[in-house]
Amino acid sequence: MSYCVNCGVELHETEKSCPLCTTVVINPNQLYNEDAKPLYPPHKQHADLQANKRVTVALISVLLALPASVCLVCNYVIDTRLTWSMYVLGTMAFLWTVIIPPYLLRRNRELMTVIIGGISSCAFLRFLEEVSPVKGWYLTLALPIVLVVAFICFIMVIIFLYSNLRKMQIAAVFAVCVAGMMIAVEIATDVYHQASFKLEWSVFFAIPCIIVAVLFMLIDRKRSVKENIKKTFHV
Amino acid sequence: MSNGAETAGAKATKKRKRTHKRWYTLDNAAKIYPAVQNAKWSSVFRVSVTLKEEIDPEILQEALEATIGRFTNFGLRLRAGMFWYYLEENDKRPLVQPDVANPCVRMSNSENANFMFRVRFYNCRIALEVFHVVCDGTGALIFLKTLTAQYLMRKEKISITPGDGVLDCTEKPHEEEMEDAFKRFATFKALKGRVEIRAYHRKGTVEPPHVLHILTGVIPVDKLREKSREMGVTLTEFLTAAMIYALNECQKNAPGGRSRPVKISVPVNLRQFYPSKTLRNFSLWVTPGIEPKYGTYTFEEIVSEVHHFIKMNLKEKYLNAMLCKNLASEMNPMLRATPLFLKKIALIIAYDLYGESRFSGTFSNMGVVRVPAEMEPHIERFDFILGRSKNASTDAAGVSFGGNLYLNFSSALHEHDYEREFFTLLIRQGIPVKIESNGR
Repeated sequence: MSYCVNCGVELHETEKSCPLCTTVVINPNQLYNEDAKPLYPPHKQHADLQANKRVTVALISVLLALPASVCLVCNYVIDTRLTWSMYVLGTMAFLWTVIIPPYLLRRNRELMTVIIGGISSCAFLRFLEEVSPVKGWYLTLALPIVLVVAFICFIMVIIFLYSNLRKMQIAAVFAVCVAGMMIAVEIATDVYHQASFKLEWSVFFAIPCIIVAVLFMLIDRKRSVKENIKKTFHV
Repeated sequence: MSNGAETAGAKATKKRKRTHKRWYTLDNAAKIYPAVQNAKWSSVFRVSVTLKEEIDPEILQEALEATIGRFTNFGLRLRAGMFWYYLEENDKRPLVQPDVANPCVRMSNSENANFMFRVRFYNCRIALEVFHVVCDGTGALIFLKTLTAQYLMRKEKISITPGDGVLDCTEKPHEEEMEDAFKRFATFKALKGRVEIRAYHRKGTVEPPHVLHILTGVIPVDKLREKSREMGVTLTEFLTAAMIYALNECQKNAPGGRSRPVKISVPVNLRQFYPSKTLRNFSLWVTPGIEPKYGTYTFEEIVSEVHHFIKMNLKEKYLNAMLCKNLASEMNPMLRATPLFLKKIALIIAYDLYGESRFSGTFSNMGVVRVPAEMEPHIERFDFILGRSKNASTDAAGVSFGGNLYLNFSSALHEHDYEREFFTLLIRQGIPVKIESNGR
């Protein structure tokens, strides 16, 4: 029999090291017994998480399909054609695509959520243009805004997950991204309304964002300032 | 033509069978478990027996099929109703399965032909893993002992007289075994309040949902009993005090953080207070502990605190008031009329408020296991393991057999500082300990 020299407990012959403190078994008279049968088999069971997810997916799908189908039936019965119920149908389908696929994903969930969200939003807005009486706003207004927002979210997720940037630097990048996003929104709305653009309100939004970003970068470089902020604002 | 008639007949029989499936409501303690389970966790525990010879899976399967008919509560499946979960007869066939390195993995409703238990085998060991909805430790142990008796009768060709927790499988199940004993014995004379503050919870690296670290301490019962008697307490009180001491040391050694009460939940088998033969859940708990803010506690002081707390609270009157409080919540007309999906939210909040957050760990001591004399020469040991808790605390469960106490610590944390503090304390008290584990 072997004892742990650190804990004083006797160890089972299958233990190569003490399970309590990980000290390796040292017993010149009786070394670790390679032939001894382990107390538990090596095979591990994994919880069937997907099975439970399937139930949740089915439940969410039913909850989303129910109002859509009720609206479709009511709309058709009252108006003998499908009009307003198409908005409900489109919204439910959009919700399904932004909830379910990311929920089922096991890897790269954050990145894929942004990509799926971007594609679904584009498709949803195209669908809305198709069913609404007002046309011509999708390509010039909705699509550019969605693409810019999705692209910036994508960049932010990559920076947050894979870059070695510090918190202050991430905050600075975020502020710059928000400024860029506002400028892009103003350009898109101006082009849609006037076929040309002139930066006005977005500049007033972007300048403070840039100042904040520069401030974050400066604070990040000055260790003493960072310490002072930590000291003053610690909770 | 005759084929068609046969099919129609079979369909009709199937339909008739379906309509005649018996169903049961969940007992008071079981109601919470399906509601609070999630995709990563469900309340599962395990009892196992190690025999002196290797297990034959085919004979074990035969024994399981002979045993399951005697236990109504094991032959059921969980179903969701509009307002409550319920249990329904399951006419499928449960199968034995090889053991794994990580016991008590979350039990899915769809696995093992919808049964809420698993029977596993490895080398000389038969293990029974049960979802807490089915029964408590006592009910599970009775099932395991009966299954083992059926196995030994077939394997060793011996006859075993029913008794000492082994049921006669030639008999039909008794109605009383399926009763909700909580309802039968509730007097509703008093309701015990639930004002308890949040207890200390050990921090550490939480392992993925399927991982469970098991550390088993094999301790001679006579040495433990001798030490407990020396201190004037019972064996359970002594071990509970040692756990509180160990957890308090962990709290002291942890960097920063506010000091919180260290409490251990000790389940109490209510069958020792009430004459019930139920095989379902029938247990409550007491939570002895210390408040470290009052100052430094020596081990002797903790032993004394635990002893007096348990002595005061382990009385039928107090337990009944606690039981009534739990039942009163269940019988609240507002709660009863709430649809299940909303009720689930309420129960999850209640579990977070009054459940695991109120104690630092659990210690369930099953006591000495007795088996019929014919079985004893074939049995090496018994084990009792609690599954992962929802908030990833470390729990302990003990069972004594053949002069040894088998104390199993189960933890979802990578670090074993609590277990080390506990076992080294026993060593310092002059109690020898042998350690086994399921590996890292």
